[in-house]
Amino acid sequence: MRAPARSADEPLLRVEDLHVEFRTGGGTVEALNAVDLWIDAGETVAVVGESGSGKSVTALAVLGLLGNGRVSGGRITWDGKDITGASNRDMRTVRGNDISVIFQDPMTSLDPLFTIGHQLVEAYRIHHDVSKREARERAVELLDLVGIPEPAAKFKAYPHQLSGGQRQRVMIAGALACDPRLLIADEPTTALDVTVEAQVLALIRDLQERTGVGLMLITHDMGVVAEMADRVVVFYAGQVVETGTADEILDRPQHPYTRALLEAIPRRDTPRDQEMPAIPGAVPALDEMPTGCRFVTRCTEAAPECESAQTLRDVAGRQVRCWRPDEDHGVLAPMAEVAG
Amino acid sequence: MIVPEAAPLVEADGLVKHFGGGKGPFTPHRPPVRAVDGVSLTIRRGETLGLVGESGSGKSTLGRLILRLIEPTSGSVTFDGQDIAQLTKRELTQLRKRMQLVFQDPFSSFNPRMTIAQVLTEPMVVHGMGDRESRTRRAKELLDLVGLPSFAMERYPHQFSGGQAQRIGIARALATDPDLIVCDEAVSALDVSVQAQVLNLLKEVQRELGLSYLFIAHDLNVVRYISDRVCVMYLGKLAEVAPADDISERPQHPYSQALMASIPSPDAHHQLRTPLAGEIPSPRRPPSGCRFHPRCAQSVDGCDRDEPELLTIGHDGDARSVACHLFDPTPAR
Amino acid sequence: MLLYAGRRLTYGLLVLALVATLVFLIIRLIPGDAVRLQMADAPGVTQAQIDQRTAELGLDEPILSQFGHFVGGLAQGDLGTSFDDERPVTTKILERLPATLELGLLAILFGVLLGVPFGMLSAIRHHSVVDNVMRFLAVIGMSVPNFWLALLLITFLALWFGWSPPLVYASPAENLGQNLVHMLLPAIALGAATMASIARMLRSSLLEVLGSNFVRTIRSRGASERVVVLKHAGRSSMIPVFTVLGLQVGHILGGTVILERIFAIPGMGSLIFEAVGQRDYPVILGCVIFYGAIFILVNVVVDLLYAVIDPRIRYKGASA
Ligand SMILES: Nc1ncnc2c1ncn2[C@@H]1O[C@H](COP(=O)(O)OP(=O)(O)OP(=O)(O)O)[C@@H](O)[C@H]1O
Ligand SMILES: Nc1ncnc2c1ncn2[C@@H]1O[C@H](COP(=O)(O)OP(=O)(O)OP(=O)(O)O)[C@@H](O)[C@H]1O
Ligand code: SF4
Ligand code: SF4
Ligand SMILES: [Mg+2]
Ligand SMILES: [Mg+2]
Repeated sequence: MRAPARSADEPLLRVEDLHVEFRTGGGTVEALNAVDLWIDAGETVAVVGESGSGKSVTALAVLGLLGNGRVSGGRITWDGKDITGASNRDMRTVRGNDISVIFQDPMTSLDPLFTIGHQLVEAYRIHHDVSKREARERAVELLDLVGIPEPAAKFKAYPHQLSGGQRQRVMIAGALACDPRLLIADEPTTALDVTVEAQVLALIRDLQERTGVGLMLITHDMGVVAEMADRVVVFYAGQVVETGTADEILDRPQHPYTRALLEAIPRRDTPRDQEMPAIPGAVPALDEMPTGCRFVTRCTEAAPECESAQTLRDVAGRQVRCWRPDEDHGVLAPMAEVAG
Repeated sequence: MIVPEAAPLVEADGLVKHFGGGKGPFTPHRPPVRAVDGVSLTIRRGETLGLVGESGSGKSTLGRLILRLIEPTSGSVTFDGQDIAQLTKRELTQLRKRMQLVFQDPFSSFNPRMTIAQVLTEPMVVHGMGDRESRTRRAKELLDLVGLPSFAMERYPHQFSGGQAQRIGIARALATDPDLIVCDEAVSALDVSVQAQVLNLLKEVQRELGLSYLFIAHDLNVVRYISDRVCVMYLGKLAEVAPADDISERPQHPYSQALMASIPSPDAHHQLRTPLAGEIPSPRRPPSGCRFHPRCAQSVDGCDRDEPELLTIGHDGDARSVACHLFDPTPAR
Repeated sequence: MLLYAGRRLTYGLLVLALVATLVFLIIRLIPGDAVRLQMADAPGVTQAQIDQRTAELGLDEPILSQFGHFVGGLAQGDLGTSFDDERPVTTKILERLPATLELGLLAILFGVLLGVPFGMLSAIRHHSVVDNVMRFLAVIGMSVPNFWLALLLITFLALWFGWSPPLVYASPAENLGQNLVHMLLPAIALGAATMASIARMLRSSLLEVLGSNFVRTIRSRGASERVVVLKHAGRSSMIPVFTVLGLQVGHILGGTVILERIFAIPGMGSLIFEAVGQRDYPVILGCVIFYGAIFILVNVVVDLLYAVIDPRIRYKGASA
């Protein structure tokens, strides 16, 4: 198992105290407020959290693809180099080459007007000065690698001629074209059936073993986390509220939000005659964020101390943004056996 | 909860729905999409019947057939003893009051310029229920029932979160006091924490009002939690129908088994699921014999030739039906 | 693909037949009567002469049988003869067609060559000063009538530079330079609206595509903005632009009627203008059918271009 606290060596990717703002019609909104995470080479880090908590924005910030948004504070370090606010020209040598990304919706993430072969050739030639023929060979090889049957024939297919699962395989092929060191997968299977999801995740795992690529896996499915992750980063309302190894987070969650989240998932053996333990209320809107702990409006353990801003503290071998847990007690309340 | 003697609320018999199949002057002939291809089922009073299956297996189409939002190619639906195909227009309107639909995306089903009060009273106006005052009173009661404050009445849909909007969607469905609500992926777009709220709400409403649900979703654990019985659908046909706990603990049909094995579980650390090979074939050209045979790990001689029938063992709440040649319907004694 | 083309063309022909029928009926509703207009001014015209002329032109027959003759002729490619000088309508139109085609093509060229870069610039720098100025100009370009714009251009060029367009038309074969100078102003006046609509449409469709998921994918792979905009987003946003272009051809054809008149260009536009004045039914009908045919043909080509650009349309049409 990996060291739970910060790794001693400089990690592949480090995000420190990241703040991101978006300019919108009614002024600016702060989508990220204090995001800290790191990813080591070859490691799988799952990023989980509710819709709108800032998972995708974090990924886009790392790639410098924020559009109408900007990094308003903090630092992003890639391989020891500060890439915060790097120019588009500099980032272009990183994108696809060092860091690749697969997006959630395979149906709309490929250009419908070009063959998938053309798009793979293009992806490869952006960073490799090779002839069309060589790139073509590489593309067919990639299609084969991601398990597309008859790769040479499918090379000429258009995206609309493929199923959702096959399109996501093509997306993975494109992301891996230039042997990146980090793959960011933003909900790669959310739009797919469970059966196809299992196939795609097995493929990602297999490719990871073969190429040693690091993986930042954005998901809201704790089942996927359990299956894939070495470490977990939990987001809530634009902040990281807890990080730790997958085993620790899933078996002994510390932050009240992580615990409530794990309990709210219907499982194979959830008693059908009992209420689901839901988290009351909803995530506060960005312009109505509490000044103290952002979870205070929904936390069953809230106390006056929670009115002050919480920092991410090292607790019992992991990091938690809540004043309650302490190293002696670890888990505070005698919570129901969550992983039972 | 289930009264076995009472006649079922809904009985669907041999429902078939084919879409398209061109034969116009310029379109060359192509086979129709067999979205639903011979489905019989019953929904009992006060029961939740779950419906699961891969994308494109025909779940939504089946739901719409039962509500008679689309006409079946063949087969019939009986609602509370009446064949809904035989109804006059007037009787059908009466019937519409008693069955409602809740969609996946609550926002797209609301008129953004209507206040919540208007959203909730509209179905009552359409069905000529009560006067203005009593409708407003009922709208307030409905909001209370789904756990929203009454000042929500004067707000607009966009002022609510996804979970709240789905509560409003449920309140609207309840406005006409229906006997049946078809929930088509009603909780699929919600975050788990909010999804749990809505699941609790649905159960609570059912306990209080005694209505039935047809609950369509692709998350098997969610379906198992809320349903009394579960139907597993594959390519327009039922593969298996069984009590909710049975289907998750002892699935009989190879497809149900594969489906259960592919649910990711937060408790199974670092265990890769065993993926079911291949993808669901096109409903235009379903495979011969058993439609699952190209992907079935247990297929035997004849599976590609003979179509298995849906056979039933047990009675009432314990009944289990399976469409597979390996299934032995004689009770093991 | 062939099947698709055939289907489009068949629909086009059906529309054309419908248009021809409608026009046939409508021009009979224009007040005034061809024979009286021709003969009224001549002194000492008797009613008998009028009746005789009416019979010669076949205008005394019931309208249905007139229509029957017209359709019969049309089926053989014969549009009848002009009431005015008794020459075949087809010959008259074919004489005038080149000038109109030239004017129309120049107008489209002007619209496309300026509209496309303007639209792109507007989208790439959206909400910048450049964008706002261009959007303002586009609104003006679309709302100002073309003849008014033409008069404005003539006036200001005359006032400021003391230059006015040549009054005598020269065909490109006779004197290409003079011909182009002559065509310049009407082409600009006609093409301004096209330019404006293309710029507007391209701006909005390009903006939409630039925000789409697949563009994000291409950017995420490190592609340059040139590849993103010109190759991927540009291609996707062409489809609505072609639609606009197809419709603009209609406006341009309509515009030729007045502009050819203003600039004394001997094209189909001025022919139809004269013919309406004289209630020269066969010529009016012939011109309308030609205009309709050009418009429909262009739009069939546009439909085919969709299929060339977009494989989803291509395959739906072919392997359906
Ligand atoms: N371009 C943008 N302009 C304005 N606000 C934005 C923009 N992109 C994201 N946001 C806001 O930033 C916040 C975080 O969004 P983000 O997409 O990162 O959420 P997420 O965690 O990925 O959620 P999901 O699970 O739904 O994908 C949201 O409140 C969102 O509305
Ligand atoms: N109006 C229609 N016209 C043509 N085909 C249709 C129509 N509605 C549905 N289909 C087709 O019928 C099949 C079943 O569709 P249906 O929407 O019922 O599936 P589903 O099980 O609800 O899938 P999902 O999980 O994706 O919602 C699909 O192949 C679909 O493409
Ligand atoms: S700081 Fe307080 S409100 Fe926030 S999670 Fe901890 S206990 Fe709950
Ligand atoms: S009938 Fe045959 S192919 Fe079909 S599920 Fe049963 S064993 Fe598999
Ligand atoms: Mg996201
Ligand atoms: Mg559906």
